[in-house]
Amino acid sequence: MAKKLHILDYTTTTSQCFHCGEIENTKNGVVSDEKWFCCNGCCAVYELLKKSDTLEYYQGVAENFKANKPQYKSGKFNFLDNPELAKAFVQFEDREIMAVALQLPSIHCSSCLFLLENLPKLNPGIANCTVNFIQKTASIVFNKNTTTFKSIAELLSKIGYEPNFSISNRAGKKGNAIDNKLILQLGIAGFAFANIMIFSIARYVMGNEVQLYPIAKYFDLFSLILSFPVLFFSASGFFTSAWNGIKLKKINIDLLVAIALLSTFGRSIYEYFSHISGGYFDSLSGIVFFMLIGKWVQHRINYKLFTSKSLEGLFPLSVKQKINGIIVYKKYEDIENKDILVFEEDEILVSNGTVLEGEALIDYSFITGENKPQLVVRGDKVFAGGRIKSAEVTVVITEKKSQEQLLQLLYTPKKAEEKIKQPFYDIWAAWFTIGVLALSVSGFAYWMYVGNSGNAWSVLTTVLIVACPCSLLLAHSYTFGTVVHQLSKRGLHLKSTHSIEKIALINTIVFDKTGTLTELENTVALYKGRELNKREQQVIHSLLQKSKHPLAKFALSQFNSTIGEEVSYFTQYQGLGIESLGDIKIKIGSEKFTGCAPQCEAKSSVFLISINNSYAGEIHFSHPFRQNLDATIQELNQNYHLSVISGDNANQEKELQQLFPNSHLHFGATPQDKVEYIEKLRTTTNDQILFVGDGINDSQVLQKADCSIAVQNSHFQYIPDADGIIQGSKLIQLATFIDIAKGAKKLVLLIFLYSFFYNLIGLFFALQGALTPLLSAIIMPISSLTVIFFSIQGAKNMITFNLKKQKQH
Amino acid sequence: MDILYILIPISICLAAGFLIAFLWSVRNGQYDRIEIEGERIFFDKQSKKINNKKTQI
Repeated sequence: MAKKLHILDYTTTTSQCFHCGEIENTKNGVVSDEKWFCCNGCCAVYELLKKSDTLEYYQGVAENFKANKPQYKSGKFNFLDNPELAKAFVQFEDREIMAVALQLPSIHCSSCLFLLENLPKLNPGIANCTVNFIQKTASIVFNKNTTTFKSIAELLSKIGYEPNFSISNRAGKKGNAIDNKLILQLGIAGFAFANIMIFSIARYVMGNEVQLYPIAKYFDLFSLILSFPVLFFSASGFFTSAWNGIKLKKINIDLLVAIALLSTFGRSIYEYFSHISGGYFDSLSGIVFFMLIGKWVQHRINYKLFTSKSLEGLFPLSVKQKINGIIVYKKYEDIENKDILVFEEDEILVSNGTVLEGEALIDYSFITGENKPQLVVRGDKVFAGGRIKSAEVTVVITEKKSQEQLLQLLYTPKKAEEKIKQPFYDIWAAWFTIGVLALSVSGFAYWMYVGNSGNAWSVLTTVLIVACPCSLLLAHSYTFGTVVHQLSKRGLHLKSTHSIEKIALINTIVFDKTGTLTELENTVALYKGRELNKREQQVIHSLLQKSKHPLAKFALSQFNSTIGEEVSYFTQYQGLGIESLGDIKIKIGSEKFTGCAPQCEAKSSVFLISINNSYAGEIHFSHPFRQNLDATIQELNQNYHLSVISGDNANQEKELQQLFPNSHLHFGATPQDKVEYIEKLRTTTNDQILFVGDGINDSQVLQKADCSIAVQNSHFQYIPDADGIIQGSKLIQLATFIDIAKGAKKLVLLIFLYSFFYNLIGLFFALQGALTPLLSAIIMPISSLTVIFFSIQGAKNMITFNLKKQKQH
Repeated sequence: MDILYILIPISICLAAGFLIAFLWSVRNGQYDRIEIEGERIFFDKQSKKINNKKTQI
């Protein structure tokens, strides 16, 4: 295979791309390193390969040009240029940026993950690409002016991950399109396997004597015929995946399987036509059948495990709908297109829509990962997932998203640090695969040398089949996946599997007080002060209703109001108070904010009310600490540094000191103070900090801490940006939950060791020639299935063990 | 053992018949949502129709 000389020639009008072999107009292309490329994509791949020093990829590349040619019919993705048709896949769009969500059924291994998340290197217009491995979806954010939706779809197709655009998938049937193909492959492999074994019964019983009977010829012939659909249809997934891996110089496990299948098939054909024996078609079809079973089981488990309905139960989202000028609270499910909804500061847009009234800044970092807020005015389009950063906005709904879609939108980690540590799995899998290949070839060479060619071929195949490097990724996915699912059932909803690893690393916990350590549901409020006239009561009532403070709504019963006379001119200062602007100046808030001192002694939280800058009264709240909190705090104190930082006054200091004997207690902190406290802790002690607080008032702090958990006390109207959400009543189980997270990490390590030794023993027998290909075909899926089983069952057992331990305290 | 020359093709035809039935059922969408099969007994629209027919007779 002579290496094709590549000559850069500007005199001709067309050139051939060095990477993909396309022939295009010279001036439309790109030159790099004295080579001509047809597009930036090919050039980028070349530079990538050059940087990682794997240019051998290009040896023999001329022969590959035909294979590298894009397999799609150009024009297949033209529909994406039409915004109406592309709308279903667009999550967000503005003048510059577009974010789309695509289904990529061909994702199946860690190399796929690595390749796809490096998509920006292949197309510089792409800002980032986030893959959800389990659900085989990718979210891509790109610059509309640099590249188009269509070219991204074409790029994905070219590298082997053609997106699936069928609309039925968007309606919520997760991944059924792949299921059908897999089931067909499985069915045909099973059909072939069973029939081939029937035909082989004679041979199993009689050994090679069966050749004496003329009918044996027909048995073998039918076996041969039946193995064709097995190899070319059922096993096609392995071959395309292995081929994709080779094309991009990434070795993956399917390569081993592909080689094993080809060698078994080749040897069988040879032995059949040279009348040595009947061939090994039973092993071939058996290998494919059992491996497909493994794939299918994994698929079903993914479907069950990761379709979590429980998060929906946490958020019976209520939204404010404007009907005839009056604001009515309605459940999100009851909203339809063309309804008018009102969103206030810090709330999240629940659907796509158009702005009717109001001017606001909207933060789309949930979707695009970028923090730059956008200004929208009347008539602008807004998208689900945006967080309102300034004034209130009235929006008419144009496209309602299902609650499931919305939660999925918000709970996919977009920030770079949160992506799974890819390179480790990748390197491990690559080395393992190379090692197994080397072992298999040297085993083959040894047995040939010794003169036992039967054993040699057997060893070549069985070694390749028995080894399985996928255990690390499987153990990680299923253990953490099960833990997330089970914790979700028990009241702690984690954002992703990555959250578990974050929690397992912490050694310091910082608590907020109101709503976190204290129970809100049984709060009692009492107004103490001078008599208020109707107008004053109305204003106070409205202010309390608009206030974001978790205690505010409990005080509403103390003041009368008339519907329709709400106050709309007010300003809210997070952590300090709320004031009305207008004819009566009423301030409700802390001592500092209102400028008045409390006149009655209070046991806990107090709101001071000043009217026209003079003291009018105060609202006393009594909200008890959660039951059994002391037991939890004691337990946590043993292993972690604890501290409490609260925006409230110091009235409950003595009680807190009893609960937290040797911890820092801070009071009167504004959200900014809290953020600074966390920063100080981090720089001085290098601790991993967990912050537990309530969602809306502590949103900045939740983001600053290494790890954050938001406490949910009642139905939310907003969705906090935290690593986890815990139901208020379950907070006392915090210690157990953290232990579970740590246990999950240990479990993954254990399972990995198990798989490692399993492989070792398997290889030991395989190298001796003691395994037949059929036997190894059964052992290999057993390996991955037991890893999955141990991960799931082990995680469940670990969780029940920890919960039992907690009950004993 | 000459009977095998007839039996084998018959068995292949039978097996092929099952294969065709399997392919048809997959194409028909019966494998799309396997969980719902167990819940099908709770759907009572059809049984109401049967009851009406019975009363009419």
